[in-house]
Amino acid sequence: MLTLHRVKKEYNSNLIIQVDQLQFDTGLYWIKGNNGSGKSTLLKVIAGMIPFEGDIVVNGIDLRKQPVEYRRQIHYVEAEPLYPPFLTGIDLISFFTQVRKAKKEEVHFLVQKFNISSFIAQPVGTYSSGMVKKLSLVLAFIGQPAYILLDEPLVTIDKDTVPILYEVISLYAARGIHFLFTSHQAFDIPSLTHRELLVENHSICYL
Amino acid sequence: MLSVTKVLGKVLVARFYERNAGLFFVVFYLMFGIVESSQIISYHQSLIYATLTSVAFQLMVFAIWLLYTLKCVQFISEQLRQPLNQFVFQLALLHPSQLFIQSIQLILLLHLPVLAYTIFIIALGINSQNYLSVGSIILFQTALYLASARWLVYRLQAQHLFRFKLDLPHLTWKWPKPLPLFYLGHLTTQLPTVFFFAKVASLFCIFGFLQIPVDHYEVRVAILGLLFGLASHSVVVFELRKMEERFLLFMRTLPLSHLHRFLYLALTYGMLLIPEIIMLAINHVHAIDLVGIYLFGVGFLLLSHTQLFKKLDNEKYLQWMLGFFLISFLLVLFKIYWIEVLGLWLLGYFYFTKHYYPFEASEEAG
Repeated sequence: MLTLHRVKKEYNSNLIIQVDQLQFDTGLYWIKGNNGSGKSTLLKVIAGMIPFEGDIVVNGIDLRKQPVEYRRQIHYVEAEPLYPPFLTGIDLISFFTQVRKAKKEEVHFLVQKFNISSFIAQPVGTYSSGMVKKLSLVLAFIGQPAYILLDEPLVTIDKDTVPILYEVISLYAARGIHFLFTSHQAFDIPSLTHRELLVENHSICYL
Repeated sequence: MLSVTKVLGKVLVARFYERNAGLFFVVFYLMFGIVESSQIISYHQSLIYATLTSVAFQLMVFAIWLLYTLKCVQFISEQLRQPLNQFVFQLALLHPSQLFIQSIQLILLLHLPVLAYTIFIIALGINSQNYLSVGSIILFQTALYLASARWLVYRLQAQHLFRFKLDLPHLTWKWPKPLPLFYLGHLTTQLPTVFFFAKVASLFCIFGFLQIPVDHYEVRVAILGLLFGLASHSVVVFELRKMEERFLLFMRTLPLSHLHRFLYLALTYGMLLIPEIIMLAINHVHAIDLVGIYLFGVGFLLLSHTQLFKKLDNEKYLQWMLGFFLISFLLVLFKIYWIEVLGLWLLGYFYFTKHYYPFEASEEAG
């Protein structure tokens, strides 16, 4: 269970989002909202990437009190991820595997599934935005988190990759991993149901 | 045309001097700070006469000017590759002669420190009737400026064809890279000339200080040499912090403790300073002192890096750097550098833990 309590995020004294109390249980959650409504900021806050006021707890692990363990539970991928251009996909995958203590078979499965083995030996600087996105999705799934946060996961990936992403999400959901995602495109995994939330006027509510 | 000059001044000239403030500070100190004020004029007269009368010395000076010009050219090339500066290519619409004038103006502005000193050399050369040397200096500098301006015109006109890149040799690493190589790889692949010049200046400072004649073994000479070398790394540290905010944001989401992250950073700077430590070692600095000096150097760079988590602002950083350098200089002179080593590491870790997560680059931009 992921709980947000009195969470508030401001940029230069401008309120972006304020959440009095919010709870995510199991399953998939689609966070909707207009451009600039604060969806990405909310995901970054939950990922522990940016400072905020308030408390966030995942399965009894408080971000402020056990930051390392908390970050083991939450994986996050940005809408437009950036990586050092001289690093190869293998460099990044190896690094994430080591830091998150992931199993090599699992990593191998993801690399094969997302069909990135043909280019991951090349530097990231040579990738198209779609290739970078695929790599970032693989990195998001490496490890054993409780929740995976995906910011616009369908942006820039080709139509062949969309069913692959759905399949991997279904597989990981069956293992008990939960998902929070934002998307302006239709996001429909036939085998799974999801709940929807709306970010509007600096707050968030279930639809 | 004045507006074009103004824009280029802001985009390229001001940024060039801002970025290289550390290097200019070191050069300024070497030129004016290491001799007593009463001897400054005779010191510079000796340097200038050596330039005018010794062919070998003149060639060395020419080599330094050439390196400086290459640094300017590399800087312009790097800036022109930035997406933010793509509008500069609109200059290609100017008449070729106007474009050339703008280019030469820009090149001269970037060479102001060299030009200022050259005026003194020429004046003394004419005064001492060394006309051949004066002629060769004028010819060499004119050729440098004309060639640089011609290159810039070509670069602006052939945006779609040309991509200048000074490829310095760098190590290729076949195995998955550990985190310190994320940083060092950025220097060797993305900023090779910045890295190269910082290292050359640093090693030059150490070598220079070790040539100071002393009656007995004096570790402070080695530490002061390294301190100047560290000052020349100020731009490297700033660039690495910028890289962290642009390309390593994903690191924030990874399950690593502050201590773990800090030690990775220490390892990075430890690797960066290996050439300096080798230079000190081959110049017979005692092994026990080497350990202390190494910790001093890494601690200095760590503190410089971590205080940039408070604010990633070049101007404020350079002001801070100047103060930090002067304090360190005095502490070394007063022989309390070992206490400083402890302070550097503790303060660096304190800044890191206090500011790592609270820092937000987007707020800086806003």
